[in-house]
Amino acid sequence: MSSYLFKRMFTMIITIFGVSVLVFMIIHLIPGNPVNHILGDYATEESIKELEMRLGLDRPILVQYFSYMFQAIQGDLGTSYITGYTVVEEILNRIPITAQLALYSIIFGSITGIIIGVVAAVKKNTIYDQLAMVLALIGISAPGFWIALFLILLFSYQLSIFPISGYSGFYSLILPSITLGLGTAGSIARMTRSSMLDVIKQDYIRTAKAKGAGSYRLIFRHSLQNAIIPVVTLIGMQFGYLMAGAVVTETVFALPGLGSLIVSAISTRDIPTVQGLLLFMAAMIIIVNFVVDLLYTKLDPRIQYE
Amino acid sequence: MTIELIKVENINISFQDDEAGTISAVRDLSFHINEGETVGLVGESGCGKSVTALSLMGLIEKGTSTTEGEIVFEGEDINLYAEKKMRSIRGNKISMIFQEPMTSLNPVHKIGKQISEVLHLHGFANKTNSKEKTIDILKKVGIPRAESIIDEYPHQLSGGMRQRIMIAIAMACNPKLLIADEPTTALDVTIQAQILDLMNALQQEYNTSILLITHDLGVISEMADRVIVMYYGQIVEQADVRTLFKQPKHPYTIGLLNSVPNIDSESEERLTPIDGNVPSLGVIKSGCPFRSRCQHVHEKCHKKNPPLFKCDSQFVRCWLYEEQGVSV
Repeated sequence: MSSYLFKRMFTMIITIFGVSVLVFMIIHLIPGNPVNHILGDYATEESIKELEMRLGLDRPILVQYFSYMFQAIQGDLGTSYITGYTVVEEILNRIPITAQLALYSIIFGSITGIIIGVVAAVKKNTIYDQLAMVLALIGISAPGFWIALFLILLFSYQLSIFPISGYSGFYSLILPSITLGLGTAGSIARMTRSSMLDVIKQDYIRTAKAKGAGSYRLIFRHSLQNAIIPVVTLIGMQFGYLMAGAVVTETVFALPGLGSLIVSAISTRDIPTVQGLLLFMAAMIIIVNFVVDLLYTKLDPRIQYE
Repeated sequence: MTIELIKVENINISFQDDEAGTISAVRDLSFHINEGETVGLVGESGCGKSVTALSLMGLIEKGTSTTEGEIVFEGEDINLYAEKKMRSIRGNKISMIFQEPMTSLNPVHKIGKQISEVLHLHGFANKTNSKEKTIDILKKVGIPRAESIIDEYPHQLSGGMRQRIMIAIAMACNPKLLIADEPTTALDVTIQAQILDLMNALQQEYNTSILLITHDLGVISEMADRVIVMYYGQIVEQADVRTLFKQPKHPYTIGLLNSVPNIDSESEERLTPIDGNVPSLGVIKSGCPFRSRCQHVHEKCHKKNPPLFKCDSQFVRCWLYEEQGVSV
């Protein structure tokens, strides 16, 4: 186990370094000079030069990269060009909202997805199955902004149950979480269905029937416990999509989270903020998937890491 | 005095298929099993052995198939039982072990839990005594270090051990009837003998009846009191085990016995296999289903499917015995 942990840690670090190189390159390939954004259209040649020097943007790109990474390792992701706060401060300020949003949508998506998937599998080839799979398809394919607008129109505007936008506690995160969780629910429902159908055919389910087990016991104790294993991987992978989805959702619902921060940082060419955020999100996704892998040993006794 | 435990009367099992329509898998099957008796059910793959076994357990899916006829167990027709009532019999009075011990146990549940589950389901254990009872059962089926094995998972055990666990689950509630569907097919020969010995020993102790399904005539000769030979969903011969091996009557049974190597025979004869394959279900509409592979085929075989003829204590479904036997 410990040698496995060590190996995994090592590959995680390598991955994060790889991500950092990509992020750094992409940002410097985007046209548009951040200095122009900061100083405005009427800046003089001299002031541009001076600011570039102050921000270290005149140095060769490799030097910039290594000095950035050297500081990043020490926990310093730089300072925002626009707000003047450090990037770490910005992240810490905004992470509670995104973390809650991600958590609630994962919970919403997993629970509804698993329920829909189980129903579809148990009622295979019936109208319930078809209805469930149509719902899942809608969940996967409907664009987030459309779902968001639809939900706002129905629940906030017509029924006035939830606030239209902005952050005002848990209540204001319900619609965004549903928006974000629907896609997850759709993928999880499909995966749960196919995994359940696979398990139901297994010999050990026949054994359980031969023991005299009732249908609830068969479905939940015997089938679902086995079928859930691949679904958990999917939940881990969904975390990445959630981070991407959070960008749209937070923008539509005007939530001050990491997603809306990255949108504004990109549009103002706020390089340190964009870089720091991307690096942070990538690290989170990698860590979540690592935790999911560790969870496996708890779910499936056949898997042991050495 | 022999007491009849289960009597199967004229069961017909058919499946609905989208393309082929109704396919009948088992036709007019009647047999009985006495208390403490071992009945062997022999035949090639696809002849309806396993379907018959599943029908006794009420485990044939209701939606796509139908089981007609009577299955009288302890005086009641269990084929008429509702699912819930049938569930109280499954694993309790009638239990079953399967061919594949490697995949028949739930991989994510501990061994102890898999055994105690059946005890709890049928009210043979409560929370306080379930561990103790589980260990008892494991000891009965000859599992070493039973105390520690209850906390292990199936993948940590060998195939033979897993089949012992399956037997432990099946025997946990002292069933009246144990259905063993090819219990040793997937095991090494040495382990096979151990498993068969164990089944024999448990039968002696609890007077359990066994329905042993196999295609292995060696196993049959060792275990069975009476043998039923099935072909194409129907019984073609039924006799006690000695009679069957000494004077098989149906050409199919003779063919089966000729396909088994015999080390005692002086002559170094080649094995004679039965030519051809079992026809697909639903293909043969009339006549004897074995006629395409039979050496004694004559005109009558093409016209009509023979009934079972009773010759002394033996039953055989073949026109060759029309004269000496009595149609039943």
